[in-house]
Amino acid sequence: MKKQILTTKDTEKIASLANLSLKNEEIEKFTSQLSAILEYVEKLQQVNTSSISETSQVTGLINITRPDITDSSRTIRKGKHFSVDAIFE
Amino acid sequence: MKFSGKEVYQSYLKRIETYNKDLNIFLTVCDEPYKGKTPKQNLLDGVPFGVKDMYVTKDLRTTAASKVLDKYVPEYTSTIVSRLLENGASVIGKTNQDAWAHGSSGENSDYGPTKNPWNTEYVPGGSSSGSAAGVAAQMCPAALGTDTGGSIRTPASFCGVVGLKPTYGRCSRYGVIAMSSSLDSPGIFTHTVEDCELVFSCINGKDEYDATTVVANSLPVPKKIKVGIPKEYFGEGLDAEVRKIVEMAIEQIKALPGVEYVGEIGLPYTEYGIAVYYLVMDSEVSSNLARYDGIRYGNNRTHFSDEAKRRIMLGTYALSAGYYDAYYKKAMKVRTLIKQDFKKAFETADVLITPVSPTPPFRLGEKVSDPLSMYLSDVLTVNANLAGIPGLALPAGFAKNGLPVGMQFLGPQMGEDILFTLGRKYQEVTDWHTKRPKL
Repeated sequence: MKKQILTTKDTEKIASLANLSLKNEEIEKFTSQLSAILEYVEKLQQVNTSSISETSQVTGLINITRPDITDSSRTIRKGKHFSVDAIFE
Repeated sequence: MKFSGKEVYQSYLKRIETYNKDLNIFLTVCDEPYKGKTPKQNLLDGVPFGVKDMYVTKDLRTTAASKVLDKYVPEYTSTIVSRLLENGASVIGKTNQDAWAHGSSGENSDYGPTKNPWNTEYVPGGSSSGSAAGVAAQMCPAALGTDTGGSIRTPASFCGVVGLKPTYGRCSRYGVIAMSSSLDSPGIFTHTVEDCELVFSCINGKDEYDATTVVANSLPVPKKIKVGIPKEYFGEGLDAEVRKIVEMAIEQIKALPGVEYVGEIGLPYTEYGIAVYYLVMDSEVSSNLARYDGIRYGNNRTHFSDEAKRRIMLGTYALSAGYYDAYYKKAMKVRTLIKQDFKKAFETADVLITPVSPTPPFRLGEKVSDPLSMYLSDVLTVNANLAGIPGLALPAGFAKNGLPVGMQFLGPQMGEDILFTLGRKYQEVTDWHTKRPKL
């Protein structure tokens, strides 16, 4: 059988990084599914990108800002105070 | 004959009550119209919209079709929905979808799949499955969707309706539950290109709550629209029926007044689109879905279904130390090449015409056990998202199995008016967009 890109230990580590708790049966299943997908994306290694820079956005916009003024229509107030959910019951 | 807005709403509501149980199009239905308080305009007066459950609606349950948000009621409304309401429209309900917009068939909903109104054994396409099916089944005359990798164009094609993926940045993502922030494009479903153009005029434009929205006008429409065919979209893997239908549409379009055919155009990096997409998108998904911790709202992360977990994990891995360069960074570089492909193509053509899906609509259950095979069905749609260009899907015919087959017009960024003009011309000489399924 061809060796998968990920081992079950890898999957466990990824799940832990992603704050996902997986059951044992799931770990096997995801290991093989994720490995298959990672194997497919290997084809990107064929592409010569030595002189290419990354695209992280397609709008070309730079540093869009607005004045640091409170929009009072969007605050949830009770009188002079802001209303937030209770932390303790 | 004249009808009141109330009568129109009631008649759509009646259709929903009659057919929604079988078709599973709406997750939440508004028995009373969900309206704005003071509409400023009346361009969409009395028009009820189905709204994909990715758009937050104040005081109206919003789930993204995930059990994580099963009982979530937003405290604010997305900009796009607000703009509809300002124009006199109402929301008739929140539509079903693949959970978190993760899917191409509608089968990843945590609330059961939507069925294709043309044949309930078939998928309606995804991820905006309910919105496309809702318009097709005449439960609403228009609907909102989102397109991150084809999620408007694919279900539009599978359900025989018009679907617009706008230029990235033309429709605000404020209040649209984030899937992949550099790709997400909120958009529209209608029966006709004319309706689509009207709705688009009401919702597009800069939004101070979304810093990625653009201020710009649509490109002017040339006297002769130059139409090209990218050969990579008509390769070996294309189903013979889809090829026949789209090629026939292309012949009809070539013969239209004001159209010039400029021949075949190359988009050489097309084949890498899926690999780039499933790395860039999954990475952004892993970040965007990190907020769902079940602490401040919603249910905890054990409520994620399989596809969400897969994408979160793939993205986490692609961004992790030691793998970031080989996966995410590499994908971002190839994305540049894909974007450049289109820039070059649009020096020669104004519009590229292609199929939307490599196959006609498939049966429910056919692709669910093989995630990779499902991903490959996106091959003709993802590159438009990577490049940030607009795509207009239109009905172009029917397969032998009676299911609709659509085509798409791809244009340069800000080229919506060119796509609308060509689409309107096509719908003047064809009638695919007038067909309705028998429910």
